Amino acid sequence: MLLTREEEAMAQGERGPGIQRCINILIKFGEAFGTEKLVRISSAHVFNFFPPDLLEELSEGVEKCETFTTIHPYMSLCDPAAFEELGLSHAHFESRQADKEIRDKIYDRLGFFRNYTCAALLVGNFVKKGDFVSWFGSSVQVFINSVIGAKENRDGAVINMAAAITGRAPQWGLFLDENRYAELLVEMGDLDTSSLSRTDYAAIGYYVGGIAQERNTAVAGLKQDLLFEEIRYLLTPVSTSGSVSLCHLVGITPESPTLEAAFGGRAPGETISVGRKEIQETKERFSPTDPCPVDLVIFGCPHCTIQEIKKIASLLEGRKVGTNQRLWIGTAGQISDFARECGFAQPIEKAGGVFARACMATIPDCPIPQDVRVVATNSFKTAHYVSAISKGRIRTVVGETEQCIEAAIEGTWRGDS
Amino acid sequence: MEIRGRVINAGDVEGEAFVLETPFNFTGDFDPVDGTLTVQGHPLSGQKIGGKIWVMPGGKGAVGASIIIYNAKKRDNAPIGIICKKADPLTVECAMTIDIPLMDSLEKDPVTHIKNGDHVAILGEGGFVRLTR
Repeated sequence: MLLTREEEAMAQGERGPGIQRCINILIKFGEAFGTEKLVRISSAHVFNFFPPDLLEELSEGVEKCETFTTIHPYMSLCDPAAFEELGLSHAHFESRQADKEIRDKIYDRLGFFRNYTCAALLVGNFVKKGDFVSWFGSSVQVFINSVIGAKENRDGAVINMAAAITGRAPQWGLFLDENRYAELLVEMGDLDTSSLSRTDYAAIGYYVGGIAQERNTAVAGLKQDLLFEEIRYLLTPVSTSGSVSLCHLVGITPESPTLEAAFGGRAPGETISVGRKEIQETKERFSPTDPCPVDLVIFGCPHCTIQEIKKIASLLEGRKVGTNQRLWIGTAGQISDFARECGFAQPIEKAGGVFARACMATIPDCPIPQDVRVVATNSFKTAHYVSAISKGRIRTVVGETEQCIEAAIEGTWRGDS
Repeated sequence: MEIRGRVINAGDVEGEAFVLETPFNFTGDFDPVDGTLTVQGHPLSGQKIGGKIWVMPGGKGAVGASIIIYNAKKRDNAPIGIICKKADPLTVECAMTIDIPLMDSLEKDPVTHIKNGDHVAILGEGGFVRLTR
């Protein structure tokens, strides 16, 4: 690999052992994939719950990190401000505190911005078209590539941290224009695309991800005035059921004003059609045919936007979550503060809802309350991972925000009928 | 038998081979706490695979794989070396995170030539794998 003089010095250890370890990881990683050089990244976003000793190793001797870097949510529901209300024990919380203190000291020394959210684009970390970035989190990776037009690979946690610390990443994969063209074409079948619900969009994404697997995909035939939230519902599941990192939305994705541009003038490797049948069958994977009890309702995967919180507030106004039910909302602390300022947080909290700066998709990774057997959510990602991580112990149901709110209040999922 | 290949992370190591015929899922196919294989229906499911040299087509899994492999290593449940047909990003990242020898692109397919329980040595400095039965 061709290194600059500065990178050579880093690799030789002249900038300390942490930088040396990080850049050598990136160099060997890049060489494995025929990469010619490293490029400077403009922004990073890192996994929060690093093992402290690994984080020490990667950051030893690093006084300050030049890359603008934000931090992923608390895992295992260990948000200091929310864990009690979420029903987690002090013992569980305390068992993670020593690690947190070591990590926070390192993050502060490096100058990382501790915003604890997977939706860091909404809280200070903005990137623009053409930027090279390294962000942790599969759903934001696909969003950055597909909607913003910045360039991002599906970096794992350590590659990502090494990139943040050195400010560099190997120039490979989706950093190279020739690797960004779509291979799979998704056409809209017998659908009225002017009136799809959010769950319809999410079901399309979940279906497409399962077929695409890791292939770059292009979706054609969508309405062109899709809302930010609608795009998030559509794109998040393509990296859940599959590991798609770039999903061209023809007419919306900056580099894909036309279908031809999305495919670089080549013919699609495969073309599929999504219609009412595919959406229905996908929804049925996470919907009970009969009314079923619901113990917990989850919103915020990815972390809620202010508009989603406003909607939840309006649906809960003057009502109460069932006495045996729980309602959890994953969002950035800055967004829940914003919601409080706007008067949206109060009706939700009064109804019994809890805001947490935590990851909602991975909750079975900690001792969640034993009475939680059925989770209802508007997120296929949450439904997929909660079911998978709990090895099926927790049943998951997906529906519209309105249906989830009714389930939180009544304690029963009524389904579509 | 010696098989030449490409060295991605250098180093010499020898030990018992654990061979998986399908791409290894770092975030689902083994338990980092007890080091056992958790692939349902696999003849070695439930057996300890930590501390061995893993031979596989490649790897896959979630973006937190490298954290899982790091935590596994602290309990001696991680591989001591990896030989794969063709290295993928997650496998390279995992090997680099715990700094173990990694080779790919061997002259002969390692998954069919190496059997479970074979004694293998990765001679990363020399660029080959040595197999003894």
